[in-house]
Amino acid sequence: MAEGILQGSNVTKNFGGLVAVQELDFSVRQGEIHGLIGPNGAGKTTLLNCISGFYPYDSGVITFKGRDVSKCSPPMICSMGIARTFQIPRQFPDETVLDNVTTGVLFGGSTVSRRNAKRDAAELLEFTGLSAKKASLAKELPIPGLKRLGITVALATKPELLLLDEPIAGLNPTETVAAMELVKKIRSERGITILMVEHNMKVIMNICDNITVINFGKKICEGPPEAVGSDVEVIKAYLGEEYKEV
Amino acid sequence: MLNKKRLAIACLAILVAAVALLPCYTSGYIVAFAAIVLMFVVLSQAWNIFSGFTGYVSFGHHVYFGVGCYVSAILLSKYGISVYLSMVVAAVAVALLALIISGPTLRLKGAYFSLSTLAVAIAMHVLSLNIPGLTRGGKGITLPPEYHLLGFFYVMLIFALISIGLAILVRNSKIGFAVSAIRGDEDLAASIGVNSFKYKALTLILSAILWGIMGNFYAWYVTYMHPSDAFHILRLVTAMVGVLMGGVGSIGGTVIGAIAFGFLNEVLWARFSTIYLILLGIVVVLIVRFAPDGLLKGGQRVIQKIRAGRE
Amino acid sequence: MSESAIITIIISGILLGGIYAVVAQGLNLVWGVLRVINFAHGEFLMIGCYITFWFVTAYKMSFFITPIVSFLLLGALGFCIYIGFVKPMLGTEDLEFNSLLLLFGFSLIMSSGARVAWSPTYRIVPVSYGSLQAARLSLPLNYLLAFGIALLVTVLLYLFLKKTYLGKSVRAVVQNKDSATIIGINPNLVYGVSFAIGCGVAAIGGSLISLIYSIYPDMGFPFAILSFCVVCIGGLGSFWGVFLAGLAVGLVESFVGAFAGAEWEPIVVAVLLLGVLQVRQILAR
Repeated sequence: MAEGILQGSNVTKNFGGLVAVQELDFSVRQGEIHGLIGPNGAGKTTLLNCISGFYPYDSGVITFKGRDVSKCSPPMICSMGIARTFQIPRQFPDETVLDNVTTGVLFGGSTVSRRNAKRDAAELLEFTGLSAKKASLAKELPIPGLKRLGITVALATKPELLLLDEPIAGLNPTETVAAMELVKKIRSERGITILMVEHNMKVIMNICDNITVINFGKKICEGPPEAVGSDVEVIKAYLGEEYKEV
Repeated sequence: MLNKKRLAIACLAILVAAVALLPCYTSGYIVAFAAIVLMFVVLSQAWNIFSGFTGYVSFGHHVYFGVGCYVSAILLSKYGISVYLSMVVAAVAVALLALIISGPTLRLKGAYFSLSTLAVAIAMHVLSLNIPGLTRGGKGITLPPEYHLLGFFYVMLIFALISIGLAILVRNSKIGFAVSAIRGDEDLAASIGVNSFKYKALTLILSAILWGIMGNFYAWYVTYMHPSDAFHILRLVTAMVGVLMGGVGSIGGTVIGAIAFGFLNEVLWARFSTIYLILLGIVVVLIVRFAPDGLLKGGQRVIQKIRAGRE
Repeated sequence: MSESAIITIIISGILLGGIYAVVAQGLNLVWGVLRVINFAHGEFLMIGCYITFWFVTAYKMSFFITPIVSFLLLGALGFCIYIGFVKPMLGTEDLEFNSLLLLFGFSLIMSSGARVAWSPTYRIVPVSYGSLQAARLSLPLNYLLAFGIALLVTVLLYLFLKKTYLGKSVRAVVQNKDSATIIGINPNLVYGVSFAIGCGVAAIGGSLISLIYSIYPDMGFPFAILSFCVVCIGGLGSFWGVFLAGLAVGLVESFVGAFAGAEWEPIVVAVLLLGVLQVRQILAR
């Protein structure tokens, strides 16, 4: 397998006695939309936290563009070109939407003046479709808006790799379609590689180029949607006997 | 709109001028009172610059005041240097202290941070009692006994304006964005590249320097310094209540809150000296209970309730 | 230094530490359950001291009644303070800041009130059970008695938390307030009871402390600081951690007092506190 922009080998993460991620290998190729799926508690968010510097991992190695990310703090990870969103959307609640994104622009890698940062932030809000709300306080946004804001703030740091933690959870079908259009746009117009943790099988199968399936912290399958959808282990562990349609 | 802003600035300028001319038309007692109130404006604003902006509640800020007091006390009494020179030394000493304290304390969260800052303050208080060679321990240090009321008053006025200016500058700068982000969600801020330690330390050092300078001039003014006065926790609480009354984080509010509490403090002290502290405690409790987001918002809520009651 | 001197230092450290431990448990409970630092904790202890003093001297009661009286009176006071002042601010944004100031206000009221009511004169509770002489050691029985009662209260507190419904509710709320509410626990009651017990336990500590130290209105603050340090060192929410930390701090104080002089105790404890917090921070990563 060609070396991916994000590569993990033998990654293990324990919490006390609990093994969250176990000897996990994975590879994400540049420019692809890569899905990470598995049942609840499978270790998906833990893995994201390890990649983004929120947890140190216990053994194995995760590299981004060939550089080891272990022991990197979140600000260092950001400067390396990785950005993320959070399962429960996080924002700066008492700041305006515009200021939220401006903060990302100011600190996320390129040193710009505050005026230019606000201008860049406004452009980003155009790109992600939140312009109308730019003067609202972040805490006033509904869930889909918060998720979109989280993505915008992440984009403000000019990442090459974007980690999305359950971007669809809590969205209705219309909002889901809109969110996925945005994800596709991010890859196609900005060339950003995307690693997406999700539960929604339909969405993952539709949008991802490659998928890694994990269960109990271990990888049980990795490959394109067709391969994953028909893998016996995956069906047993996660999809259930009834799910035949891909 | 432009007219409104100009009007506001004009009013403020007149107010400042009126205060600046106080010594010309009021008694020494009033000038002294005003000077102390102005000192609390500086202390409150400085505390606001760190704790109000970052959300890290420092419960040991009085240590910087105390160190400033002792720098001035020692330098002025032993070496007879000018208080303005000792101000510079105090600023440097306090900045170094803040830098050293930052290391172990700023990486702690919430209550752990607050309590560790308090522990440091107490340790310094106790230290000052126990190195009599330097600080003359509990006996205290007597500074050159000159009457500095006017000087003290104008220095306080100038620093009150400086502290407000600094607060505005910080708020509108890149540092301001950083600390707002840290206050809003520190982990999120880290994930978008904010080096939170650096910005917390910067604002702490700035805030500490102001407290240290205040201590420096305070000792010069009262001409006698001993540990319980230098490191008195009530000074910190007074500053915190001033910030609370104005709304935590608000620059203008802090000024108003500090002035209001300064008046309250003085009235209580002047009229009820024996039970002064009990009343002060009651006032603090009532303010926190009924106007925790500042008097302005508290007043608005009262008005709303009255209106709702009428309907 | 002779062997027996060292053993005396160790033993008196442990005995004192046991009292510190139980006082700190009160703070631990309040902080663990409500996430509020009771800045008036020391004043509850101080009033407990005075209750013992007045009941023994003025009302001529036996010492042993006084911890119970202290617990009940100050527990009730704590409950009232909770209902009137703490409860309304729970769940708000600036809870930590506001609760610090609020409880500081109360500590001011209580300590100044004590000073005005009972004058700043140092008092000593005239209860002395002599000394225990054993193996060339001389131990004041007051220390042993205080330690014994402190241990008893610690055990009772532990049993309360582990075995009673109310105690288990407290632990549930500490772990996860929302889940606890869903299964029918009334968090408000739990908060109120926890606050009350926290204050009451501080008061018992005061009654015990009065057997050993002299009493004065401002004595609360140093004990509050000590309790904070013990809880920070032992680990917020950890029952046995706080217990052991109490013993440790007692030992440290005893040694520092013997070798460097009592004035240095606060500095050493502060350094210890910072050190432990640093280590814990590093280990957590």
